[in-house]
Amino acid sequence: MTGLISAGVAVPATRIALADILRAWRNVPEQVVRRLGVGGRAVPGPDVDTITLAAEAAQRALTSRVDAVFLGTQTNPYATRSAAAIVADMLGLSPHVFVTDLQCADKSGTAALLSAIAWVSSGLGERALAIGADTLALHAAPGDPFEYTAGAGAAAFVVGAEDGAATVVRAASAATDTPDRYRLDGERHIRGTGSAMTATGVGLEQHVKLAFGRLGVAAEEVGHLAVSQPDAATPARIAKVLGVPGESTGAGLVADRIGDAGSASALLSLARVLDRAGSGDTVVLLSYGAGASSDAVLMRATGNAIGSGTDRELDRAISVDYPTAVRYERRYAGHERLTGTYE
Amino acid sequence: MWAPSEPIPRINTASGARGWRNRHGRYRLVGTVCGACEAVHFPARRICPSCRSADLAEKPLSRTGKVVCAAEDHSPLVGHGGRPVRPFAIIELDNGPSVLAELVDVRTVTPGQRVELVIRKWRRESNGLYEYGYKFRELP
Amino acid sequence: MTGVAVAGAGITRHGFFPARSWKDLIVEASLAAVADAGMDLGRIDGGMVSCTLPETFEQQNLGAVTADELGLTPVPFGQLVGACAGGLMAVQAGIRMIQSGAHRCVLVAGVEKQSDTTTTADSMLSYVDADFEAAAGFDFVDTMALMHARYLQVHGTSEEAVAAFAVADRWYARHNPVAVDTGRPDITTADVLDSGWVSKPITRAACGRACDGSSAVVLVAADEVPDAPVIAGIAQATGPNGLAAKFGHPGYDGDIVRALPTAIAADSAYRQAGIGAGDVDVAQVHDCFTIMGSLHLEGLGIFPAGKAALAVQAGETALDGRCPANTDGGRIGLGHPTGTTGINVVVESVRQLRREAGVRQVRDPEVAVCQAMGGNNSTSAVAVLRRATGRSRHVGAE
Ligand SMILES: [Zn+2]
Repeated sequence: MTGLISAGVAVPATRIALADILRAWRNVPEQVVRRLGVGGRAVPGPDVDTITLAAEAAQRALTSRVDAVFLGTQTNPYATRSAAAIVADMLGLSPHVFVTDLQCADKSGTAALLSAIAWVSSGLGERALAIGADTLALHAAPGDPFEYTAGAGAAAFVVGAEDGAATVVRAASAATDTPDRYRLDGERHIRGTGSAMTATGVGLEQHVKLAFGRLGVAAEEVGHLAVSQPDAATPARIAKVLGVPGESTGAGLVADRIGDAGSASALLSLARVLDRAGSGDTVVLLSYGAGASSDAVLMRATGNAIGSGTDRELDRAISVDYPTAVRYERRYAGHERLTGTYE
Repeated sequence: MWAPSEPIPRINTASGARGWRNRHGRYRLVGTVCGACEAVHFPARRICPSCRSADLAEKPLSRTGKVVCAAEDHSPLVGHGGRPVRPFAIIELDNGPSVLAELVDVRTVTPGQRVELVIRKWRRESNGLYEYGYKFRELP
Repeated sequence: MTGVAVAGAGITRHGFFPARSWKDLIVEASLAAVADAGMDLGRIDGGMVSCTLPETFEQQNLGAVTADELGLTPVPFGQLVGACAGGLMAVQAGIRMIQSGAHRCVLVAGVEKQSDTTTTADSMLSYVDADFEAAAGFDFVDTMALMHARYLQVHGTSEEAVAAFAVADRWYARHNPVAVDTGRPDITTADVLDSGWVSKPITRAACGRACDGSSAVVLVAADEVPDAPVIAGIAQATGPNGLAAKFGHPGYDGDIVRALPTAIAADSAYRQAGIGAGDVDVAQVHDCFTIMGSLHLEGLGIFPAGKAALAVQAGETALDGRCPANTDGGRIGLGHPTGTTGINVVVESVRQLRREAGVRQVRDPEVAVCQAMGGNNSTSAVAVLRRATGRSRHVGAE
């Protein structure tokens, strides 16, 4: 048996209301913004990046020794250095640790979790740490509609050869070449390629359907759907596409308060689900990564709460206005080296 | 847009080694405990200032503590200007010495406030590397 | 007694001087000191230079370069660094040079050219703990803001009382022709408190003024210049450099509200001079921020612990007060070219003892005490100067 044993999350405490971004730009009709169901999104503080979020989530998840760290992110501040290696050192893990970074757009987090599950199931190690972390907010162009929802966050799970809070039953995936959203080497901002790719369902809907369809679980049996949520309307949209009960998305909703946490999104959703799932509940983790790919994991909750404290982190909210968010996220061109004074 | 590509001379550009070798202190508050008199120090020391013993062992200190006294930086140094105001404090660690640290995600700071370690960026080094380290946030 | 006297003292105008280099400043101050001593430059047979931030002008080996600039090579010249106490420590080194018998006439000069860099605070960062304070974004105004906060917390003193130091400094500085604040109007405690936070509770007007400036003194055996003020005692002491490390440090009372190295150095300097704190007629202390001025007045024993800020507020350091202090305007009013500061305090003590301070002149001072601190109370030097007695003294006798 392979199960999820413990979990921890990190979400920037600073948040901006979508209404504030709308006031600054007025480039999207108000009712369209409101339809996203996102009240506010996370604003990473100036001292926050993917590595600090991953380290904070992992620290809270870590209740036992682990011998592998899988870190899924598409926003590693370093192009070549392993963020997982830095996080492992921050956690004080023994240097005898397997680390790797995984990059698969917004599904990097579930790719990390599946890798950890595979690592433990194969007997390569006893316990592995899987982390999904992203700071999309730093990669949304000012004035791009993506700026309304691009947030940040991290979630971490310890996976072990025991039942834990949820036992892994089966996994399935899907991938095709579908260019709906991407960031080029050397560029800061993520580009969308138009509503023909995003509104028609050729990316998100088709891939989650493909992956979910191979799980071998009847749609009506799904008790909790923990799903990637670029906005708070997407979980219901996916539930409808898959035919799973609408109420199955309730426990896993996180985007309404923090926006799009990228690779962390589906894992944050799962952490919140496993904080409240009952014994025997059928839990489906479902991710979508632009580009495009999906992972689906069927799990059975054991009734042991995973204790991620996700609500506590979501509730720790400090509102900031748009100019503050611009400053925190460094959405301006400045001197490489500012001049200061000593009064 | 034309950008000059000549390198800018700096007498003091840090090597990667300088910040790297003290990372355990920054990441996990690794200090020292004196084998002779049990005094605990942070940062890690080579000689115990209490008894001058060199029999010191490294040890990660408590990740929680309480504010002793606090102030608020309104003129952040270059590289720390992300926030216009940086609250900071002397924090007495549980079962350990005191540290000087920035407080994040806090509205008000009062002596006695319980705090916990969070890891954040300190600054970007002159060589381009990010230097991460301890900051503290309120414990609920 | 050290047996060494200050034969001459010179100081440049303090401020920002884009057209003048550190060499211009140190040569001007040195020539002024030599002229003040009524000597020929050729009599200098040794020297010591103090500079805290030579990286601002990217030149080291300042001893040799200064000797060369003054046309004094091959006379031995060295450089001494002790953070902002370095100037007074260089004076102490100069005294030792004469006491050793190897030198007869030593020039000690301080210089700083802080305006040669765009980010002076960055340069000062080499003095807080490099690994765990500077890297975390804390400079001296931050560490001293904590001392300020702690002082208010422990002693229950008012913000107004602490701010009074800057008000007193301004009065002296406006009458000092070389001060940054020369000729400027008086200020009130409200002005100080309303000047904007730099690092709360420290406000802009409560800060010492980073600037360019140089000063120099000429030291000779006291029996060679019977009319010159003598250095009756001088000492230096150290403490832990890290601010937080002072809590629980065995050598540091376990708190940050006391200028302990100042107290230890003062004790030694007073003993050498055979005086007590009550004998001090005029004092120069290290007021890099208002709170530090009060902490050092307490360290010198001039006012009891927790009472200096109130005493300053009550006018006890004004010209007609119990112990006039920082009569040149101090770091806040004269300016704080850090490496020069420890010599500035000697220059002002000499002016006062020679009764040449004009409207700033304290009435009939016999004993002047001066002090300079480096780091977060990690080093402090204290000197006691006495008015010339006119009697001959044997060099090296203590
Ligand atoms: Zn010991």
